[in-house]
Amino acid sequence: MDNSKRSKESKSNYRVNILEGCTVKVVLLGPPNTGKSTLFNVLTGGKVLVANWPGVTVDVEIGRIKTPGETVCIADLPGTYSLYPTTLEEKIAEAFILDNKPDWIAVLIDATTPEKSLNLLLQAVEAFGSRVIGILTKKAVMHGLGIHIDIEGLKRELGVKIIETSALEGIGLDELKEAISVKPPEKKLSAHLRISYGPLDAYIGTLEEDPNLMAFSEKYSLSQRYTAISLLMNDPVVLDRVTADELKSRVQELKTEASKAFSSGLNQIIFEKRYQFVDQLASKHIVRTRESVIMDKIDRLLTHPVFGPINSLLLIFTVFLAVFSVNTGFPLNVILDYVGYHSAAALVEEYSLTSILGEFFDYLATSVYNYIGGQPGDLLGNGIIGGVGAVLSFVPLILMVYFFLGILEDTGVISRIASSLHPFLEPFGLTGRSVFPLFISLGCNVPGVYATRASSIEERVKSLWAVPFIPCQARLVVMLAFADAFFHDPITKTLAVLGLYTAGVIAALLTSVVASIFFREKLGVERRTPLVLELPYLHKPSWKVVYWITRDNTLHFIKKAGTVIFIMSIITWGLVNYGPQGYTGSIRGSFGELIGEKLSFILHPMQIRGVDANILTLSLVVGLVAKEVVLSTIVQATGIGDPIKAVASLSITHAQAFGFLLIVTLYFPCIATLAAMYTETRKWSYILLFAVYSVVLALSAGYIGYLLNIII
Amino acid sequence: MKGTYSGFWGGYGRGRGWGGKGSSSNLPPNDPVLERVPAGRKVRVKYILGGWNANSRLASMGIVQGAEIEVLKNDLNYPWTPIIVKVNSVEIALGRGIASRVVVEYIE
Repeated sequence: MDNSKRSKESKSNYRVNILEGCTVKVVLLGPPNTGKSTLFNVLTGGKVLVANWPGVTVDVEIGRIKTPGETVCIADLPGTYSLYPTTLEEKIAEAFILDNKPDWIAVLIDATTPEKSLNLLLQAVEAFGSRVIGILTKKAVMHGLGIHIDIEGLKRELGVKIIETSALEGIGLDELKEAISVKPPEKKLSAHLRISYGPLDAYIGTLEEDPNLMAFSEKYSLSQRYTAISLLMNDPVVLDRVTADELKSRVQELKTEASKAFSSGLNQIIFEKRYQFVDQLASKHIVRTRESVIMDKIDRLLTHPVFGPINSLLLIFTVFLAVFSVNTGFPLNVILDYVGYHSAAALVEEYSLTSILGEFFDYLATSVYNYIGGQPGDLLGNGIIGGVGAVLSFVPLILMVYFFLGILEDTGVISRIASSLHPFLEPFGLTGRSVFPLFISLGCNVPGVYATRASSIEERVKSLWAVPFIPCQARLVVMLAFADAFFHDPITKTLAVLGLYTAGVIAALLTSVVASIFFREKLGVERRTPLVLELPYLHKPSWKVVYWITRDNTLHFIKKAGTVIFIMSIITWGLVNYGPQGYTGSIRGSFGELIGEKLSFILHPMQIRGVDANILTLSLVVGLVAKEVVLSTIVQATGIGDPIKAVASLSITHAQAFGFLLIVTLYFPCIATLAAMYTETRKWSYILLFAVYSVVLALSAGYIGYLLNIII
Repeated sequence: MKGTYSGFWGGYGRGRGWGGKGSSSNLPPNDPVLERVPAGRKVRVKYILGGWNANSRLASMGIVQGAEIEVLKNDLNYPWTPIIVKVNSVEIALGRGIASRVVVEYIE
């Protein structure tokens, strides 16, 4: 079964055409948090081409350096601890190197934690010999932390060049550029470094001399010894590329023989020997004179068993408050309103970025409509300009979320938060990494979807499905209008809204469990993602890095998700402005209304029928664009200007209203969120499946909520 | 204890320990696991229980047979918190589930 699973993936080739025109090809390889993106940005000036593959969520960014006569291309590979792939990122890193045969494999060594790169460096030297170049990063802060590295000794022992740099201070960059703009002297793989694998050496040696293996190593510019080791270790990336059946059966033969001879697994022996070697390297060439005491206090505040989670939540809440109060006024407006400052609350809301942008686009749309008039004016004003407005209204939000996320990431604070809050999410199969995205989703699901990037791919399969169920502010608007209209005393009103939030959170966490069961076989998702999380040393944020994180991700959103949101907005505009008789100019007689009527049966189990069912279903259909539109649709369909009065004019009961709100809260987040989910997964089938799942879940929850309300 | 290969992704959940389906009844009785090691102690990894995935996840952080681990934080009074260890001078937070699969011996 394992073989069949592998062969399905096997034909994936990670060759990239962008690299064809380059005179020198360089890949940057290194564990996460080694300053890889920083170096990449400084070297290439941030101008990048992105290599991606269908169905694969990990991108590889490629940049260029122009030097006289040469075009040096640099690929920033995903963070890896090892060449032997255990994660999707590592798999892609290895496959990318094999398929593109770069001239230089640059391995980054973080001067603040040099030990963590040594294993990777060692494997790279074993595999690629003199094509490896070491790059020491963050050199400027090294001595302040009491770390001293014997670079000359390391160079000698490994037989590779190592260049000392500090990207933010501009140290060593010219030397680095000079070194990588020339191809390595000989492409022949030196046998400079031969680690002894003890009892396994005999098997490795035998395999090394296999003629099929020699041909394979030649083809992929990989050392014979490393190829032999990878095959014995069952390295899926190397194994996938072996075509000769004789070689496969030879490997199998040797493996069976070897596993009979030893009590522990082959991989275990190899890992252990490598680490012994790494330990020796580290103790010989790295000296630490004193432990870093900087930021120790913050560290203790965030990882304390009782106060750690509280402090972490406070920190996230502060970020949340800052981002959303500036953007939408929420939750500051609700808080101000609650304590009695009604005019201040209104002011905060009026002068929020979203509201100002919204008013500006409304003004623009109306002016255009009035100037041109008729059908073309409506299309240009409300359709196209409205669509652009929809995209742009998210931009400040995304920008600010990334700004704060960038600070939390760069300082290493987010890892502590994740570790502290992990116990709360563990029962639902997620790790503490998902706390931030879930929390941000209370404001808006779109940045929530993007914030899941901090998690591993395996965890994201679950968290991406969970995030859109968290009730965002747009849903709150609908909830409050219905609550005002149908629940008159403050206690039931509060209970109704709280009930809906609880339902949303339960749906999110439940969905994570459902996703883990559903994707278990197909995507290898685990029931509980175990927490194995590096806590990088805490330091002050580098504003340059924060700026890059913010800029890159915001641009990514505008380009990728923006297009999808724009197109979908226009399609929806068309649906509610055109009918069988052509242009209608309003919902009346449009395709949207027809769809609403045809689908109104979904509300029949809740005993909502006739005109009310039509209006509410129509509002659900139009609400696919954004949940707040549910209200404006009800306003337009009933013809009553005030949203609360319009809602109150529907002849439905409390129980029916509650059931309907449950549906609004849970069904199909909105096209912007789905667009974000699509850009993160690049699989329409996945998105479609999610949409169907959310609708089914919402309807069932709605019916159950309705029944429960009737009984109570 | 053999690091059996079970597909690129599979394996982990079928092992023993928290979250797994099996039982830990065949654990050697006297071997401590990393999850129970108090803060401040140094240990060496004897072997790792569980499937290929657990093994490789830990291996990629340097936690393999023979590796030296210093336990920095392990609040046994608060058994829901992750434990924090130092391997190759990198601090790592480990969930209790996966930490209970790492069988160790004390070195000092």
